[in-house]
Amino acid sequence: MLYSVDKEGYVRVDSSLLVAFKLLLETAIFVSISFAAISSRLFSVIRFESIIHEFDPWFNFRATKYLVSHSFYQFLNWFDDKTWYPLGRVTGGTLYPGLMVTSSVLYHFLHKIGLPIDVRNICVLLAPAFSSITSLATFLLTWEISDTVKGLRYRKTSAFFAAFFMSIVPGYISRSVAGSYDNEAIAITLLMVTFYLWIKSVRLGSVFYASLTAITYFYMVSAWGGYVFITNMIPLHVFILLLMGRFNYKLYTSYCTWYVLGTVMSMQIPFVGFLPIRSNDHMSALGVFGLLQFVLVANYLKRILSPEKFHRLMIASGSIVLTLGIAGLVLATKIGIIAPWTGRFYSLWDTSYAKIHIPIIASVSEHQPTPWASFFFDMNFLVWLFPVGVFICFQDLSDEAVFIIVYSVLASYFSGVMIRLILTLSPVVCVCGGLTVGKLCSIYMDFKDIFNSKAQKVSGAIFDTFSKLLVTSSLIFYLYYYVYHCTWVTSNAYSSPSVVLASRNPDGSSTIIDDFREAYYWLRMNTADDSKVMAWWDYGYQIGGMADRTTFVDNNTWNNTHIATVGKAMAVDERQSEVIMRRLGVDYVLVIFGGVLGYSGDDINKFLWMVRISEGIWPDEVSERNYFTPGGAYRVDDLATPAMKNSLMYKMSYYRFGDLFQGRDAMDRVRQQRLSAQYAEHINLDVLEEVFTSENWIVRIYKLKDQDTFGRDLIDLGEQKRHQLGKKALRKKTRSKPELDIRI
Amino acid sequence: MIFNLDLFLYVAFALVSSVQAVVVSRSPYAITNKTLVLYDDNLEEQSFSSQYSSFLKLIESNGFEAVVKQADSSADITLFDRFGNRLYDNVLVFPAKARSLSKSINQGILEQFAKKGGNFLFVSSNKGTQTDSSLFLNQLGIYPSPKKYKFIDYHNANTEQSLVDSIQKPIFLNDVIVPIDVEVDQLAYKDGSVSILNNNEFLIPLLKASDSSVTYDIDRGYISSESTWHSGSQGFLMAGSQALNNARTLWIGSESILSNSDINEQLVDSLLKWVFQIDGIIKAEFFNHTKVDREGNELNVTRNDKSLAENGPDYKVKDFCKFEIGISQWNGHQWVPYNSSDVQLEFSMLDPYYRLTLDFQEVREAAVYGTIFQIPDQHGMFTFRVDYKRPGLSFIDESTVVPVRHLANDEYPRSWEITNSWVYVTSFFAVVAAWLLFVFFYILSANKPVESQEKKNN
Repeated sequence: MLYSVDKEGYVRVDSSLLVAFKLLLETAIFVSISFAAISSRLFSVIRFESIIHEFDPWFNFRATKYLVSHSFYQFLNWFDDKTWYPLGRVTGGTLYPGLMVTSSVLYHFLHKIGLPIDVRNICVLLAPAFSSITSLATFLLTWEISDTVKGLRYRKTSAFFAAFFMSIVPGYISRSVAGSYDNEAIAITLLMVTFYLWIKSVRLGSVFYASLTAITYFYMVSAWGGYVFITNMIPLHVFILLLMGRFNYKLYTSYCTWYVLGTVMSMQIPFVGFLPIRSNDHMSALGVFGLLQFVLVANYLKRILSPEKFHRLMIASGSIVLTLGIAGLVLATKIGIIAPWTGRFYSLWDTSYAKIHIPIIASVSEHQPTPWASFFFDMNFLVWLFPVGVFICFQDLSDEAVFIIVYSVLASYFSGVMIRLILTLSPVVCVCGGLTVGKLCSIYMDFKDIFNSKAQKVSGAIFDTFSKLLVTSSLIFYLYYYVYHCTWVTSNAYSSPSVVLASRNPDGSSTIIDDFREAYYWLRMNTADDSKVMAWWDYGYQIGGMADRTTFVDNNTWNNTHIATVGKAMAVDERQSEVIMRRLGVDYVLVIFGGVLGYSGDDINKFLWMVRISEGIWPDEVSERNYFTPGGAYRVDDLATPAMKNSLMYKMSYYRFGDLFQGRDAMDRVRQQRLSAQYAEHINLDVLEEVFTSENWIVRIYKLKDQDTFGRDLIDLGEQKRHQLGKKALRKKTRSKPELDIRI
Repeated sequence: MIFNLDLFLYVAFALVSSVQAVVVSRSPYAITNKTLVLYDDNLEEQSFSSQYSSFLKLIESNGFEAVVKQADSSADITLFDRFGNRLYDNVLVFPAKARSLSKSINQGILEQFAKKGGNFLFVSSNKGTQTDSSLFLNQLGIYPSPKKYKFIDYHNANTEQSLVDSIQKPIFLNDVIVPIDVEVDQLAYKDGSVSILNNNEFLIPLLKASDSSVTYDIDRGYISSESTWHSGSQGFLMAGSQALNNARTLWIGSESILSNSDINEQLVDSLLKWVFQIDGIIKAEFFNHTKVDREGNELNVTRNDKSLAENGPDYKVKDFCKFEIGISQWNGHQWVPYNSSDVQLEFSMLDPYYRLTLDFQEVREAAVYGTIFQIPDQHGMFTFRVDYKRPGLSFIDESTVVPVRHLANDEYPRSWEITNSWVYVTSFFAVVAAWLLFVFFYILSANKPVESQEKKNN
């Protein structure tokens, strides 16, 4: 009998039925959370199509296609001769293969079981699929944490709420919508799984879980450069526990197991190589590993020595170790055994560092400091649940709670420095939010007393119930609002592929602007297979992925000089530029111009970065000041500076721009500046010829002209054409002595 | 085998040279075998064909039919058919007064003709300067002196007004156009004009004016810097130009060089042979590179035979590479091996990593120049390039780009092959062994619980 009615009239249900029912309910909740996570990420596919987004995903996509059609070793040793011409890129050794390997394993698996799904679709849908695993991991992590939080009656509720928050938090959705096929898509999942397993192993002191942590850590290392976050988080957690005097063998076991296995495994990734023992970013993990051994010995000595002796020994050895350690670190850095801090690291501490010293890092919009509003935008009401959650963790300070506190502090700081690091903050915010809501539920959502007739009526019970109702209803309102907000943000802000733009007609109907693909397809179909396309590095991956043509620089900004060379070719006048382009072997030049449509992410707006980056290498030849008017304005109209007007980028952007306006003044809708008609028609190009301009003028492609058959200078030739003389003048010209550089 | 080939070629060569007198030489690139000769009747004292009969005969003897037409602004002469194909291989323009050479010929058409591979011989004099021809020559960097400017030499000319009418023992500056064995004692140069040249690198100066000569505007009546066109060694009497597509243009300052009375057939024949692309024509027959071992034996082992066919050999850093280029020369009748010692190969990525002079290897279908070298320890997209541009010879500019990859994961030497690593490998095994021993003894010796020891200490 599954249930029976007892003598008092209560229904007694068999416990196995209850367990089954509970399981069913939990499964249903999980399915719903996964459904929410996946479906809200599908906006981009529904609005546009199943397409790879933005920039970096195009490279990952291309690499995945390579991996699918080649063997793993070929992929690992892949020398890419279609990028960074003529340097080439050791692609196999300079990428994190985790993402590509994941999708290729999926691809082969699906094909094995008879589901012939296209690689592109696997890539597009990988991020949503992984986001549901992230929710599960968040559930487990919160479950683990909540176990140690006092006064939390509904542990599962907290965990479910955390998972639910995680599933649709915009801060995470921004990097994991369908089509956003980037490393972060799987890395956040791995981050959460690793942290969960770490907490588990610290609690149990289990070698098994610590090894699992190391394995997921290895997966993380193979997937994203942000693994350094874990490499520093875990040692910091251990370090703080040591300072708190919480040393125990569980901690020792799990840390040593994780560190040794994790480090050895991470060194198997070619891109990481010997970094874990050579780079400063990894030194804290090594240091804590050493410290743990030291503490272990100290612990042992403490037991066998008298307190005074121990005290003296500690002071002596402590100071020796400290001085030796610091001296060793400084010396090793000086000699070059340990790589010095990288620029990207400095820019984490000083937000203006990059702007001064490494323009190439500063030029990336996602490396800018975060504006305050975007915290609310990306987290909604979790922003104020988060501190409460951290406070709850502070209340009892278990080892696991300390982890959450350390994570919160670090991630909060970093997310303030760089806008893209909001991504790493989101999970901990969701966990803390889950804890808070769980706590609120355990206090205010408990209406058992009302139905409990046996409870004594206390004065103020009505008010008690009322306040409970008030808090509950406002919580429900906020939860509703959270879902509403997340959906709105996802649908409006994060679901644009940026390869295809959506715009609204004056009558409110939407139209698709597809200039990028139009242009890349033109390149693919109309140029020679081995032609080389010069463009600013932002478009390198897209040209490689969509047009399948060789590029000079791309989003993998590994060679600053090469980027500066391209920047210089864009920034200087035609005569100098021609020399650079011929030396590089340029066939086509591609520019993005938004002046017609008002597309503000165009090359003229990025132009100053090209100038700055090339000025960094050739300060004598390029100077940023020359591109600003004496009044300090950035002008592109008649009053632009000569350096600006002569620069190749300017000419390519505005060449024949005046023709669009049929005699009226040409209006640049991005800069809101007016080019007078007679000025606009005098913008000319001699070394390049226009071969393609897309429908809305967003992409313009030029071809570098061949050298003149008779060895004449192309610019002189163009000059001659523009000042076409009449017959009489020509005759006169042949009869008067020319001004020449005479050959003797 | 090589010896046999050489022998065969020698025999063939001997045969050819013996019949050379009979067979008319021709250009390998001739399409129409026609040469257009444009002249202006107003400037000629006798009828053109009688005055230049030997010159016209020389044209015929070089395999071209001479089509003689009079230049006139109203004449209906075209250089192209209605599909834009050339009607002539060469155009020879004599001095003309006409405003334009024909209804449809102007400077642009002349340029187009050259761009399509047609050759020009321009003859000018101080009697008439045709504007379009001058404009075209100006584009190449040749600036002939216009009418009125007289070419005089007060020191060496023994004529009235010291006008130059002949050049004694001229020295030709390019031995491809005028070979050394062409002997000229005296070159008629009546009513000559003189050019100044700019620094265009495709120009080939052929004959210089003497250091004591000057051209000046007789209307001005005196010699000053304004009235002179050239002075001293600035002036040139003959100059050639070869465009990137090997189309040739020759300019001559006086028509008397070509006229029956003063013609030096040997000289004019060599000039025509150059203009008509019969002499000084070389080409690259093949351009090969293969992967070899250190001794230069070809390697047949590649990672992927299919990719070899598509992408050429799979080079990696520090591989050895054998490079060959076959160059042959047109001797007027057929292609023969080209003999030279200055063919260079550039192996470059942004900058040349190597610039190697190629050695003569053997004679196959052409003279083979080659070398074996080691690819530098640098991966990237490298260009093999032979840029052989010598004044007077047609241009060879061959290049191909190959990727040079880094070492693959299994191409590094194994750790035990590196003697330096032995100490580390040994220490590794020592630690492993020590640890195993430790565990072994620890397990064996731990017969007492640890707690008891602790209690003793306490």
